[in-house]
Amino acid sequence: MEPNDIELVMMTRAARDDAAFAKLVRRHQARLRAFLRRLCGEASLADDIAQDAFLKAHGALDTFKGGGSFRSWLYAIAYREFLQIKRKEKAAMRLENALKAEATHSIASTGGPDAGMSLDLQRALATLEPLERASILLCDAAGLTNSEAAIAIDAPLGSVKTYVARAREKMRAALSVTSPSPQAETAARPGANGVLYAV
Amino acid sequence: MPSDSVEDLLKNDFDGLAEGLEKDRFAEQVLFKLTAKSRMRQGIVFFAGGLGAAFAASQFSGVVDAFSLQLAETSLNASPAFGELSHIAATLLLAGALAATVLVLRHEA
Repeated sequence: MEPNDIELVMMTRAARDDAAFAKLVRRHQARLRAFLRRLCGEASLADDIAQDAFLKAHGALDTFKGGGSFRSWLYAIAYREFLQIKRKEKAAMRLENALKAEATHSIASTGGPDAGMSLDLQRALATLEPLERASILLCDAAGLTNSEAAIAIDAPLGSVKTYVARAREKMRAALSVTSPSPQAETAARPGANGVLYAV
Repeated sequence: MPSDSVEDLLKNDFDGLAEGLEKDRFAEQVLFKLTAKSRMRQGIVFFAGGLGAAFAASQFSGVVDAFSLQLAETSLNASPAFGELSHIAATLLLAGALAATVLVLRHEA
């Protein structure tokens, strides 16, 4: 039977077992990177943040108390990294450009990190405040519980619930405004995941 | 639009993206970086161990002479194998040092 996250953390801590930590990396990397890609809208930046988060997590494993899940602790590190980078002026400009690009460029012309993401979804996500965006991505997309998301973004549980509810409302509104007309539907094709992509 | 559409859209999009990211070499790159520090430390220990071994080997005759002087003062100097005893003692000493180094290196690895 596969050891759970906490057992792997214990193994890494007890024997400096990098193989145990490697399992944690393999287990969480894809969803953490997906979360960061949707959060910052730039694949290479998201991967850099994810890499830093794993390296920091490995270095700070002794400080993991086990009160919450390893996943929420890892996402918290990644989210702090994201915020730190966002604060840096240069990176902030890159992020801003990326977010603008999300809302204005077509999937085909970017061909980059968000290729494959519905244009409507990109636009809808771009309408959200950063905390709303992070909360809805953590809870509705990445599948974290509200409590885990609260740990990850270091916000009260009640606030996270509010952010998620508000984000859903805003996205629902944005998606209903941008939902394709019958004519537009004929010019769109369904993707593998059932999302309509602009063509 | 049904109330759960936003959640479904996000989840489907996210699952599709994450599935694609499972297959690339990101994890290996992270693990390579993670072990970079210990690899460097290993390299330094190996280098220091090798340097120490080379230096010890160059001093072998000196160690043999030192053992000869020590053994000459004991009753062993009457032994027919006395000439070899100092060589054996020096070899054992160096072998002990080598074994200790190997233990350290194994722990590092």
